Amino acid sequence: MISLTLHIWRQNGPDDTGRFQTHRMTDIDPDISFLEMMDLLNEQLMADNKEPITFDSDCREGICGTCSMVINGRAHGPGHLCTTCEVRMRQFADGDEVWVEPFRSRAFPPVKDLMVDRSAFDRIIQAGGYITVHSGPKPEPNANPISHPVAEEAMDAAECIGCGACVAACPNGAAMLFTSAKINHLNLLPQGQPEAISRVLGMVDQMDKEGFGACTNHAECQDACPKGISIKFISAMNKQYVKATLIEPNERRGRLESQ
Amino acid sequence: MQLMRFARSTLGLKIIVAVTGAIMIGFLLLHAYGNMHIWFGAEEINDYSYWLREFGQHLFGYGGFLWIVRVVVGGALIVHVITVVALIRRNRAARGSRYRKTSRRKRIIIGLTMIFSGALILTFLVLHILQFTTGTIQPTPFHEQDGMGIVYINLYQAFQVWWIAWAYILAVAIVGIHIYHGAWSVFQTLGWNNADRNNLFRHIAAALAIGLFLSFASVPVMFWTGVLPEPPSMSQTQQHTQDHGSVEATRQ
Amino acid sequence: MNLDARIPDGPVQEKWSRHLEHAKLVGPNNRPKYDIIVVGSGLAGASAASSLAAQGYNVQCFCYQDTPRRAHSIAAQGGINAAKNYCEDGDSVYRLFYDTQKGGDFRAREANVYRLAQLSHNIIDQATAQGVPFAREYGGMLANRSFGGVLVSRTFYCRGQTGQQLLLGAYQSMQRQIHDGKLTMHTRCELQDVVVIDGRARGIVVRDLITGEIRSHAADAVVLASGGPGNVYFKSTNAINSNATATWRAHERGAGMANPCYVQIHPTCIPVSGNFQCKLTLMSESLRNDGRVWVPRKKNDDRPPQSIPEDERYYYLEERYPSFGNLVPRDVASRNAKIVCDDGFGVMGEGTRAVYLDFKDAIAERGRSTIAERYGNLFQMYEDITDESPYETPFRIYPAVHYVMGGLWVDYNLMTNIPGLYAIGEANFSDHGANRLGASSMMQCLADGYFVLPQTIGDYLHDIFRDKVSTDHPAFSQHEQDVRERIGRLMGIGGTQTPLSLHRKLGETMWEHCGMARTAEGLKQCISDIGQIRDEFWKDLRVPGTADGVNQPLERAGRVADFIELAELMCRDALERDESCGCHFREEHQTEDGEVVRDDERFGNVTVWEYTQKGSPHIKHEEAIDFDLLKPMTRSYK
Ligand SMILES: Cc1cc2nc3c(=O)[nH]c(=O)nc-3n(C[C@H](O)[C@H](O)[C@H](O)COP(=O)(O)OP(=O)(O)OC[C@H]3O[C@@H](n4cnc5c(N)ncnc54)[C@H](O)[C@@H]3O)c2cc1C
Ligand code: HEM
Ligand code: FES
Repeated sequence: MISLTLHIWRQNGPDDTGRFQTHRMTDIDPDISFLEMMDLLNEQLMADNKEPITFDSDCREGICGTCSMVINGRAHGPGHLCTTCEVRMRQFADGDEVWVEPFRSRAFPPVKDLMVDRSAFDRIIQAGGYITVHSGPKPEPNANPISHPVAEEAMDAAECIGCGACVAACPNGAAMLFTSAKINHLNLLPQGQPEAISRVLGMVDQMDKEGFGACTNHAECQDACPKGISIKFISAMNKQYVKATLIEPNERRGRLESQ
Repeated sequence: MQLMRFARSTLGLKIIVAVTGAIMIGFLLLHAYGNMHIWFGAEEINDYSYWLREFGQHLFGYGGFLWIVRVVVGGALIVHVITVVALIRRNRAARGSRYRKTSRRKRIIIGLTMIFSGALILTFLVLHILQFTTGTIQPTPFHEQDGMGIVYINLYQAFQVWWIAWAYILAVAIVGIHIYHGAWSVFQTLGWNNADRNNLFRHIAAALAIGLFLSFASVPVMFWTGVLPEPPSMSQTQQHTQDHGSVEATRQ
Repeated sequence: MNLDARIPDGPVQEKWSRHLEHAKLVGPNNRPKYDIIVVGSGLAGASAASSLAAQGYNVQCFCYQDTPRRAHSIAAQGGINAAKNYCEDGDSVYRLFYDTQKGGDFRAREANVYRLAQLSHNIIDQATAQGVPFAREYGGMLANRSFGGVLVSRTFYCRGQTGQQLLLGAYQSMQRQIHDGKLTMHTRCELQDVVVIDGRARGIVVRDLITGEIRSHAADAVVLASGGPGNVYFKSTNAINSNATATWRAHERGAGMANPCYVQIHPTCIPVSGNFQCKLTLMSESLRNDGRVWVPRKKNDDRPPQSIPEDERYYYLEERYPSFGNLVPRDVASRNAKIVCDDGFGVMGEGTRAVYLDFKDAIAERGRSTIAERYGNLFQMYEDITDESPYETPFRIYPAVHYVMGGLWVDYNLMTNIPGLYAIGEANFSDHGANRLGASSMMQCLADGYFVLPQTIGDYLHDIFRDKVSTDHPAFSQHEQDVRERIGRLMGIGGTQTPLSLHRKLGETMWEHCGMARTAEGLKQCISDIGQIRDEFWKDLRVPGTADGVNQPLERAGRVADFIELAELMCRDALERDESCGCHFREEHQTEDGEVVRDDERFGNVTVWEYTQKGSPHIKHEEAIDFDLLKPMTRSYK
């Protein structure tokens, strides 16, 4: 059993300035998860007639990307390749002080306490993160073989759970890792080719519009990513962006005026 | 237009930083190559400074090539600084509210301080040019001939002063640090990086940083420690440099 | 209650194609004049919403998460079935139909199941075209793995994240429709009521979970794709916010609830540890492909697993079911785990019940690296949670609530008995009978959303053209008022117990009495416990804060209130289904060696419950099931 001092960010809505509130938790079973500990804390708060702490979570097994806390300065807390909900109390030592903050970034406006609004990610996908197909008969998948390494690399990118830890961890609040993973997942596959160029242009533009920052190659995002997505995808995105803006003609079909 | 789109986007700006950075690294390599002449004595380096001006003189005129280099590199520097400042402002805004507590990996400190290393480099560059190219500031006397400084003598004299020598060593160390992150970043930013190549690129960046640092730092060190001898008398140097066909003779 | 399933005529194999030939359609020029509401953005909801929007309808989609991509479907790990017969191992549409019917213990409609098997092909084609990166072999062809309850390899997968990838495919299609302005997404909105006017579904009332606003939305049809209510057991493998609210409120407005007692308990979950746990973690069933399940032969053996010699290990599944071995269907695997634990053979790690799932032989045979490639992430996940490495010591596993086969009753068109109200995905009851085979749920969700609903909804819509209702209709304000009152009641009780603690109490009694094995007595006990919990809930609940803003305890309270009602109906259904079938195991009806004994004579049907009025008992209806193609037989996996 361990005891902790928790400093938790409380913010009553987007207009509130927010502050830390300190709680002591004793007799924590080291095998429970961090969020179960938070549940317990909330039960205690409610027993004391106080308002519980608002935080997001759903699947509680590291796949939905809902949970989002910065614990002791690290997006998703201690440990590698894990989400907040996968953090276990055994990762803390008895008597530790723990700081819990929301994911902070201008493009992720605060909602309440530890809950933020990550809808900017949806809008980036809307700007091109799809393959245009309708429901209905489709070509036989095996008619279009995809080599194992390519399929696996696309899958490496597709593993992104859209949690936003990359943004939270980036000193510049950049969404490069997310955007590049989504672009590359589709652009690596033959099915993604017809829209490859417009996808890069649209998604990068939207990323800027949302107010995310630029990459300065620190790789903090990669370090925080619960799915271990590589910054190589950022590199690949840059290349595709150069191709899309500078190399590929953007208007193939227009007439050329003669003299 | 796509070009404007490019130039306005964070990715485009970032790529411009990388390209201008790469141009400057290219220049530094050239510069380091030039500096190496000094290891072989006053004649070599002075000849080199003439060669620089004579190179391609049929096409660009005497000193024309040097001007092209100056314009390209100077332009790159200006663009580099402007885009970097623009990006940093965007990044500050994007960061939003600050964390009370952050725990970042220690090694990203070089990346995080690029703006400071860059600012120091900029200051250094200005002073450096004022000192050795134009002779505007003269902590030690500036010797001039044919409208340009006499490299060996000027360097020798400057680097006899301990703090000037140290300032240069420190400055080029900062250049090395900037390039350690910068050179790898060029590969990453321009889209050449992938899992196979990353190690190679990291090593290239380290080699560039260390190589450039050593070669630049060798100059003040060698002068200060006396490995490079006191220059021959002023008149001798003048005579030989005027008649720079007879390098062999000077050596004897 | 009208329970006409409207199954088309003709031989089972041709029903779907005939149906399509004769279905009424809405022309492309008229589709933009219809509004359709889709509640839920999981595999079923997202695929339906995107397909309907692509056809030209105006679609509004709702989910309680902050983005549609986080719907619970994202957690599905193992894979999705399709009768592609890529492995040339004897698979066919008929065999998939056969396996599903047999797996479901002959409690599903043949016509629906056959259609599902037929459409399974299209799902794989569709998903591939959307860019779902299914695992490929070195030659570039799609790879397959096998799952419990079948003798062929027909499961397609994306590492251990098949659900995520399939959902992203559907989600991305949705995002495209949003971009094109055909679809409006309402995130962080929870359905509170279904508005039925003159016998037709006309809209919904939702609570905005951020502002607390109660809002109405009108439409020409309402599609519920709100997932399953497994959380009625408190601890389950479902996402912690999964709920029964949408389906239960629809039920209260007249939609029939079918077979609510069919609950699947998944055999390979990480055992409960500590009593504060609120979520159980599933380890993909695919582990049973290579892992061997065993317990010590000696009762209460407390030696560490490594030091138990081979001949003292009881590989109970392999011994009892030689032909399927470790790959028996889920209900059989779960029940056997319970039996061996009840008999005292269970592995007692820190007071929890468990059995071993051992990879020792697989590692010896195939090498550690092959096993790591196949299951590496699952091994890691287990180690992160339990601090034990499955490479060194066997997994400890125990069954946990996973999926509810029962749900809203729907006809062949997926419409409930309320015209204009549809239910798709896990929210309906249609295709899995009394037990669902692994990798079949995603197949059903996507078949419903991509291929069935978009082609059947026109049959209803064409009929109500120009017969529009807007939210100005008094029924909407009446429903909103009901919702406000209900929330006001929850806020105003001012007792001492938190929603979570009451939820836990409910779960405990449900797991005890309405779980893997049920008895008449236990079920009656459970019903009375539930009555007590209901009383406590409405007398002693405490919800802090206010209702006009984010209030997570309030959200939970609303869900628990509905779970309590559903739980009672589940028990009643289980009590009245006086037979064993599939997952519904009544101890009174078993063979000597503990196998299920069905009573096709009396219970070869679907039980559909009709809600009457608060406080009064439900009315029971039955829909008979016809068996044309495959006559019920005793399920045997020996
Ligand atoms: C851990 C796990 C692993 C699984 N693995 C597999 C597998 O390998 N293969 C397989 O075939 N199946 C698997 N399943 C089952 C399968 O994932 C689910 O049955 C299926 O995804 C259900 O999808 P759905 O679209 O019906 O609902 P869900 O995905 O549950 O979506 C429900 C949607 O409804 C919304 N919603 C719910 N209530 C409300 C409300 N009141 N108001 C507004 N919106 C609401 C939610 O926001 C959500 O968007 C697995 C399930 C679990 C738990
Ligand atoms: C000799 C001169 C210089 C060289 C060779 C050089 C080189 C580079 C290189 C190669 C990069 C990496 C580009 C990339 O991220 O891909 C870089 C980045 C950077 N440079 Fe310089 N630079 C020089 C001068 C300066 C100056 C004068 C400044 C200051 C104002 C500066 C500030 C920066 C900053 C802040 C970055 C990081 C930008 C980012 O990562 O987004 N540099 N530099
Ligand atoms: S709650 Fe789903 S990833 Fe943490």
